[in-house]
Amino acid sequence: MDSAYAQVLAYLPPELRERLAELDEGRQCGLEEVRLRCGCPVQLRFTEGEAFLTARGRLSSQAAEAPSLSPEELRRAVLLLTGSSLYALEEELRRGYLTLPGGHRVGLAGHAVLEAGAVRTLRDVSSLNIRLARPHRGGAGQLLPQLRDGQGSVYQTLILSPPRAGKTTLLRELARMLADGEGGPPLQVGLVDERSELAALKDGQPQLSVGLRCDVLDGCPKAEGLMMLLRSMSPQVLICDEIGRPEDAAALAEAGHAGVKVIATAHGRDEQELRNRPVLGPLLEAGCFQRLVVLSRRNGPGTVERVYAPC
Amino acid sequence: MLPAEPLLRWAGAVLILLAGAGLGRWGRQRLRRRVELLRGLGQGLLVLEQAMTYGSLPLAAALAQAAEAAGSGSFLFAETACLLEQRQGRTAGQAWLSALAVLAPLLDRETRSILQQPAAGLGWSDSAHQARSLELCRLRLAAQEEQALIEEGRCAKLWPAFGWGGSAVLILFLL
Repeated sequence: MDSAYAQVLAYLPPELRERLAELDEGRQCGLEEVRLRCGCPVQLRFTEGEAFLTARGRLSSQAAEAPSLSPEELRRAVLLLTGSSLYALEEELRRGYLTLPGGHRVGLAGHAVLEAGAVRTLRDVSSLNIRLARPHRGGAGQLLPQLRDGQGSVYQTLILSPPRAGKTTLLRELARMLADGEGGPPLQVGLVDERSELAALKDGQPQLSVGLRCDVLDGCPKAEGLMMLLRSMSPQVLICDEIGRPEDAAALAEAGHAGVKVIATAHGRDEQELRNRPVLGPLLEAGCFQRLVVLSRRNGPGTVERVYAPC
Repeated sequence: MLPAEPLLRWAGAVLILLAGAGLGRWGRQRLRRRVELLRGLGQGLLVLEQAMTYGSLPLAAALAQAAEAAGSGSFLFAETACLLEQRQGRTAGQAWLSALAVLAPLLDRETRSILQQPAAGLGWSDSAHQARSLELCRLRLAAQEEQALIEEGRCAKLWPAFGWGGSAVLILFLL
C-alpha cells in the first residue's frame, strides 16, 4: 500500500478505512484529497478526475451509488483525526486546519464560534478535506537552474498558482535540493513551516525530506518565524509557504534588506491577479521578487508554466 | 470413636476461627480499598483535567499522566490511553467505556454510572467544557468517597468482630 495513503487511513474510522483499502494501488498513489461531508457521499479527488466511494470500496461518478456519511460517522472521523483532543487544537480549529503526522493537511468547516468579532473556534464540524502530502523527488530539477543567480545563491522568488497545483510540494523539493547542494553549491536553508506540512516535524525530526542543511521552524507564524530564523540561524535562503498577510510582506522586505534570499508561495493565477492583491501588489511594485514561477495543473500538479523576472 | 477425632475437631475449630478472622479482615480491607479506589480515581480525574486544560496535552498523553497520579484507579486511565494509542478506530469515549468495563467488578452501580458520564463528550469540545465535565464527575466521586469513608469508619471494627464472633458461635454450635 502507498505509504502516504496508509498513514492517512490509520486516522479514519474502521468502516471507511476498509472501503478505502479496496482501492487498487494505482488509484491510491494518485489520490490527492479525501473529502468527507455530513450527509454526502465520500468524495475522492485524484490527479486525474474525481469519484465517489461506494459501499464496496469501488469508485463511481454517480453520487447516488455511494452511501452518505452520517453525522455520527463524521463526528467519529473528527475524533480520530484529532486524537480525541479537540480541546488541545483550538488554535488549529480557529485557523480551519490541522496537520497529521506525515504532513497531511486536514481542512475543516463547520459552525464558527465568534468572540469579539473574530473566530475563536469551530464547532459542529460539517466537512473535512484530507489532503495527502507526498514527496516528489526530482520535480524541481528543471526549475532550480532558472532560480540560481550565478553567484552561488538564488533569486528572490515567488511561486504562484491556484490551490492544488503543487506549490507546497515544489517548495519542499526546492528546499531539499538547495540544502543538499544539488545543481549548485549547498546553501543554509531556513524553513518556516507554519502548517507543519512542508517538513512535518515529529519529535524534532522532519518526516518529509528537506535536506541536510535545512533548519525548520515548525508551527510558527510566517512573519515571526522569518525574523526568528534570520536572527538565530544565519540562513542564506529563507523558505515559507503561502504568504499574503501584511506582516508577511514586512518580514519579506526585512529579509531582503538583510541580504537573505526568500523563496515563497502565494495563491494566484498570474502576475496580474497578484498585482491586484493589496499586500502582494506593492511587494511586486517594489521589486521584492526577482523571479516569478507560475504553476498549473495542465500536465498534472506542479506543471511549470512560466519562470520570468517580473517587470 | 477414633483417638484422632478430638484432634480433628480442634483442628477444624481452629480452621473455622481462622476463616472467620480472614473474612473479617477481608471485609475491612474491602471498605478501605473502595475508599482508596475512589480517592485514586478522583486524583486521576483532577490530573486529567489539568493536563487537558492547562497543559493542552493530547488526550492519550493527558491520560498517561493521570494514570501516574491515580494510584489504585490508574487502570482506567492507563488502559484508555493504551486503547487510544493503538489507533484501531476507537474514539476516546469508546476506549474509556471499554476500560471501565474491565474495572466494573470493583465498582458499585452508582460509581460506574458516575464514571460513564464523561465518556460521551470526552475530547469532543473546548477545554472549558471538558474541564466542567471532568470536574462534575470528580465532585460526584468525592461525595462517594465521603460516604465510603463514613461507611469504613462505621464498619471497620464491625467486620473483624463479626468474623471472630461468627466463627466462635459456629464452633460452639458444631462442638
